[in-house]
Amino acid sequence: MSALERMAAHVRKSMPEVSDATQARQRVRFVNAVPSQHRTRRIARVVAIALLTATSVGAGGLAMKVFRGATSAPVAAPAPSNERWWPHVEQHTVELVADRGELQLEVSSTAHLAQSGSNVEVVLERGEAVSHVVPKRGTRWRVRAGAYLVQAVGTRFSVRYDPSMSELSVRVDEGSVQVTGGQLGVSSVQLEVGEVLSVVGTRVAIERQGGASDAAIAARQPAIDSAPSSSALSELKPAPAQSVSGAVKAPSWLELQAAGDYRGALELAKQLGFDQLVVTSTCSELTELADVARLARDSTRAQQALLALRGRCLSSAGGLRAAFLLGRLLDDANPAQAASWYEKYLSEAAGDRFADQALGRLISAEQRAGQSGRAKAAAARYIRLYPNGSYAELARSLGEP
Amino acid sequence: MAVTPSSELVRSPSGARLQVLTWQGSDEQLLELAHAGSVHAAGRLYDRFSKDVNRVVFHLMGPDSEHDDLVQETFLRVFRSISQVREAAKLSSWVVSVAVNVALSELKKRKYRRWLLAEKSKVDANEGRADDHEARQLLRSVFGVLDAMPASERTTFALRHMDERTMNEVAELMSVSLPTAKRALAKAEHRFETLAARIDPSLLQRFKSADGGGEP
Repeated sequence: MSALERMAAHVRKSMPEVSDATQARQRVRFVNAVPSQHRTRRIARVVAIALLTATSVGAGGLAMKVFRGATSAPVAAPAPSNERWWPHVEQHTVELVADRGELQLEVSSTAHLAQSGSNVEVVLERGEAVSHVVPKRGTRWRVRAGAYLVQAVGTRFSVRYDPSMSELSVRVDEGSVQVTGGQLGVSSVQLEVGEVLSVVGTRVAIERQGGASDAAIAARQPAIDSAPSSSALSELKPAPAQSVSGAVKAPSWLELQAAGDYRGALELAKQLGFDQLVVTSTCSELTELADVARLARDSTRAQQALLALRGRCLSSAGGLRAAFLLGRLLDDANPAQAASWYEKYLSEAAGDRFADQALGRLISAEQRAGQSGRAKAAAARYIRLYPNGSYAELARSLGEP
Repeated sequence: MAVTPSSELVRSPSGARLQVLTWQGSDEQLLELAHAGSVHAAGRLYDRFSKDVNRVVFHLMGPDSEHDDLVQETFLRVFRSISQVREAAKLSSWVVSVAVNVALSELKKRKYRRWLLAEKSKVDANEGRADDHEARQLLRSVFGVLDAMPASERTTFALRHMDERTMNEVAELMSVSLPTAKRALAKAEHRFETLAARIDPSLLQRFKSADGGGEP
């Protein structure tokens, strides 16, 4: 093996890996860019052709006609074999989905079924779907209707969706389901047997068939009321149907975060109850929530989330890194406290990717806190571990008489 | 209380966290979907080729501050021109060739900008495995040398050595004949060694040992 080949092998090993978060961000960015780019290019091309035609033939009317043609809905795609596609159901259809259950589609429905291993997702673009699911451990069955997601918890239920009126109706006949998205934001509503969730525009109601259940409705009301305010609702409101095959998106705070809109994500998280999210989120969500608050420059909430991470998720990467980020947050206002967080991070996660930065920042924080002895000790440690690091100059300057 | 945030549902209502139903179909199905103009094709294209595109961009450009932009540009070009691809068997290599072209044209633009505007290198070694100081140093040195090479020589070199492509693949991706690709690689290797000796004399030395092998 030549020196070049050995060097290349080391370079490959040193390359960064693409994290899930990076991939999620790249995916959202690309998928969001495609429709507008596609439409813009298509319209531009059609306008160019129309103008050329109008100029050469002198037929302005024809140009308008061609231009109008550009906005027609795209043709629904045929289904790949691991998926099924119903562009327009002409008669009541019953589909058996592996050994998981049964899907019935009513006349005039448009739907698309994707199956991946034990996971089944039905995208109901319009119309009505009745699902009868055989519950199994570790499997998932859900129906997506525009901005809403209905997750079956072993059940028979129906979902009716009209994108043109932003209307959703979910009725549970057996078992229970969880509904989220759209006007519900990231909260989910659990529906039991006999309950019907109706969403019309921005109005959300839960009714019990054969008479309203005050208790059930009252139990859900506060969270629905605490759902996003009018400004956020306008973002979450399901858009009118764009096309036969266009599922409508409802951004959650995680999606806004993935798209880089940290302020928007934080606003949404606050409207949903930041304190509650801190308590109920999983470790990875809590890491994202802390990032959202930090990057939206809400230091208080960022500290709250980071401290919760340290409390609940110390064994996770996010939990370990929380100490470093707490140091960063306190660096300007309270260098002594920041230094103690950096020390904690270095003692708990010496090999983590920010160890170099933490040790460099520790030198500076100790200096500003008036702890020159500790600053020198940190500087000596830095030079020993990172002789060419970005804080090496600062570290060396402390070592000089 | 019946209403609680649900992590599972929050994670994947529409796209960003949709990890459950990743693309498992064939390239024929993906092409069919894309040719039909389905709005679902974009996400699936990304799911299918995300790793390949990210890998090629990393190998050609190094840890670059504009990495995400280059990946985005690659996928946009792929989506824009996928109608030209008729054979599913060629889809994968075609996507890689688009990524190579995006990287190559970016390198050429940067050369001009560096020459005209004295623009600085965009190698961001902090994006690498930051816990490993030596790894970051190595990336900085290697891509520092590569930055000084002509764009097409650098790309030929990186495809062969970083991305471990065969010479036939290098020739195809660079749209040249096999003998031309071989000559270009020899020239690129020679230039790399010459520049490395000037810019960072210890770089290749570290990978040469007395017995001709071993770790740096």
